[in-house]
Amino acid sequence: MVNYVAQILVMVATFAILAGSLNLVLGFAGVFSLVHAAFFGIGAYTAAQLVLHLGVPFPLDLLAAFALTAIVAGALSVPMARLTHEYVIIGTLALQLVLFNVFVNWEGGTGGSYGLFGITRPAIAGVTLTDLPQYAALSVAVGLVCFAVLFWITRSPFGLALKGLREDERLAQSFGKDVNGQRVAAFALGSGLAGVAGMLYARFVGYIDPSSFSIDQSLAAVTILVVGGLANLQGTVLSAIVLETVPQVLRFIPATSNAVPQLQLLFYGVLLTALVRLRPQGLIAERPLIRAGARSKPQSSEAAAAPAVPVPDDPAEAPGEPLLAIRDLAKQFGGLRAVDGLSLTIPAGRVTGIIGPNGAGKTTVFNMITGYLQADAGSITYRGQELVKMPPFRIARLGIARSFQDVRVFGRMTVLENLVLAIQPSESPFTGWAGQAQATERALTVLDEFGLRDQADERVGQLSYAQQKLLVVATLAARGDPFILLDELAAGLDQESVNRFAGLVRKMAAGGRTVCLIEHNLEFVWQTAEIVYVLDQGKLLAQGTPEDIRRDARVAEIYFGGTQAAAHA
Amino acid sequence: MLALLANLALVGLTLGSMYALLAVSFGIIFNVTHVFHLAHGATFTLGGYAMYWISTMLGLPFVAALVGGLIAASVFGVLVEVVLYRPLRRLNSPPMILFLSSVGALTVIEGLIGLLFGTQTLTFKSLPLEAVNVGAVTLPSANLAMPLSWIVIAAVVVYMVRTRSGKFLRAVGDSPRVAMALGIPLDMTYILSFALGSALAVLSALLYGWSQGLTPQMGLSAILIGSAGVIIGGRHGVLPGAIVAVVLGTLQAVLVAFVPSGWQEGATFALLLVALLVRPQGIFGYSLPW
Repeated sequence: MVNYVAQILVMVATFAILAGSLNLVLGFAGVFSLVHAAFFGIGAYTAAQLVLHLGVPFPLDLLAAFALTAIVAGALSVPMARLTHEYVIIGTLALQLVLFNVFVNWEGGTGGSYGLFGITRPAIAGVTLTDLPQYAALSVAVGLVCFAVLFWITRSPFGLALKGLREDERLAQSFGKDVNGQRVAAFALGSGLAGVAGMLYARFVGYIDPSSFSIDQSLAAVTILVVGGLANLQGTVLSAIVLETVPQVLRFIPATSNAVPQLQLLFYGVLLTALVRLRPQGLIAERPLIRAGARSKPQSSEAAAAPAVPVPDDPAEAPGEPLLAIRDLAKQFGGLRAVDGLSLTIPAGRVTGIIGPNGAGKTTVFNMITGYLQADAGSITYRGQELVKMPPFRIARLGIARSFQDVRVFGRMTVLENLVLAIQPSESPFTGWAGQAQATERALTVLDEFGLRDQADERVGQLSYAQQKLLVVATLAARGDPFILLDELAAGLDQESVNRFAGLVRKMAAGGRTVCLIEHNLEFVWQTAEIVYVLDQGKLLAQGTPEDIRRDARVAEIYFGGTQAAAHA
Repeated sequence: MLALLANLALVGLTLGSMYALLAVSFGIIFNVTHVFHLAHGATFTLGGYAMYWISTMLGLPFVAALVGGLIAASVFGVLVEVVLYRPLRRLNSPPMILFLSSVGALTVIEGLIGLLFGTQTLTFKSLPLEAVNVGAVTLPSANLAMPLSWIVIAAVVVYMVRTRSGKFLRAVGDSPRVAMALGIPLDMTYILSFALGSALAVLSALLYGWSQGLTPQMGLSAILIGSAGVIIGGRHGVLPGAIVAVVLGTLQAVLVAFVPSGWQEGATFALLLVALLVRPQGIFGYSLPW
């Protein structure tokens, strides 16, 4: 009986690590990986070969399994980091089948389909752990260490960054986050821990063959993870206990012992389909990493009316000097010339408005400035630095912030988490903690100023449209970037909010920041902008002060058509 | 060597035709409902085993087996849509949740078939297995039947382009909202796409089982090639997916000459992965009929 329980404990520990490591990859970083079983296998084969041929002692086999798996996974994930949505599923599924094929055929490395035999149990302090309870104790200890690592990583600033890239990669990039690097790091670390689970497994069963590392095992790990709840490690442990105990019990019932793999598939499949229907958040739902909770609120309730806007330190240019210069910029989509030889400059410390009818190329220009679209030709220089071909996060790190036309927020994260992620200075799980704590304090102050303090712990996806836009503005204000690009900030807002936002934009410029805005709401432009560019069909149609533009007949023509237009403007 | 290559290429083209049909069957569901229906692999397996049960275990004529397989698969496909996907869609669940539900359904069927039929490879006893000489090359009977896939694929394309319900399917695939605003019954159109796609999967399961035999896991690797064809081909229509699937199938067969035996599957999926990485937006534009 003791041995029986011990065996269950080993399997629970092994598969808790496997599912927990997948949680980092899938639950936090949002990478739908179906190749996890292959990394479990790489860890198992690595440990087995080291033990069989070199007699490597514990815990060196564990460390080697971790390191080799992490390196292989990291290297494979670099080209795969650009895949999104269903491409990730297909890509990781293909990779799983490729690696499985290697396990089956590479006789020198894996023993082929016959596998590897005679893997001994590890020894600790000269005692070989042949007794099941001893090995169970070791497994649980290794499990605890792995989960300690996972808890530490996911609670750290890096964990918050992973949730952000899961929610909205483009938005995270606009805050200067190196999403590809973070994804590769999470994938390598999570896969490395799967390798640790593989080592535990190999030294427990003593004999490994490819069947333990098939796609079915990947799907089993996904099932354990989803049943427990994504982005929630306690849930994973709970789920591993339940889902691994059941097949082990089946093994001991004579009537079912012959068909355990099939029964396990059936059980997992029924559980998974039922769960996503009845409790999609899993046994334990995801919880915010940072909470405002009952922290003391600053008293200044009037602050909401007049949010402070931080002044960037030491602007390099005198107000009015060119900050950003666009020359001969061009972008073509199929047969459409969205931007066609455009040249303009944005002066420092001023508010510049870019207007024009739908399809004039305004947002395309913004996307090229911020690196989300690659220009076909031309140059964009910011403080003398060429931006074309620079990835979005590097451009953001130069101090160029932007808002998106379709209001982008990290929907399943709280208001406070959104803001902290946008302003935390470092993602490092080692050195980022202090910066995150300061960022949290500052975020709470900013939320107070913008009247969002009461929503701090609410999920942003549940806020109203206007509140989400307010959060976007609060984020831009809190980040303090010297150059801000606003894409249709006023769209869809009531007049009161429009006026309020206009005041905020003017305040940003008065504080020495440079603002460039795309607008359809001309009233908003007249209220804020000092220089206006008019785009039409990808070309510059007119430029000047708001007064000039309001009197320009060509502008009136494209906006209102016909001749009665001038009176309108 | 040249003769060998020609023979392999012909085997590959026929095998590819079978994958093309599978891609079309997956594409009808994916392009219309936008669900990544991994359980289509289960439909494929289920159809194959239903035909095995009727033809080999019950000893009925193969025509009866085919009809039974078509019914079993269509019913299963429609059940997955109505019982699993539709309620989730009503709850506005994200695509990942629908995919997980699909994974669950696939797992259930794989487990169930393993319990009922065992995990060993099974073959259709009533279908001929001998190889046939075609000019200078030799092809197994199953491969000789595979080009018939293109007749079915052509019929599907004509159906999608010409008929009223085919146009409904395409309209819903383009934009469910607009289609609904035009009075196209959304639920019925989804059911139609699952019924049609699932039935077509049985035809490719017949060809697959005939040439390779049946296992409970056959659906997953087959659906990977089929779905990869659709994804790499692009979302507009089913023909691009069919063409990519033919290329993948042909490569898989021709690789026999270049990689050691046992490694072809891995090499095929490695190539598939490379294709995915190199061309992630889909290869074809909007020039094919559907």
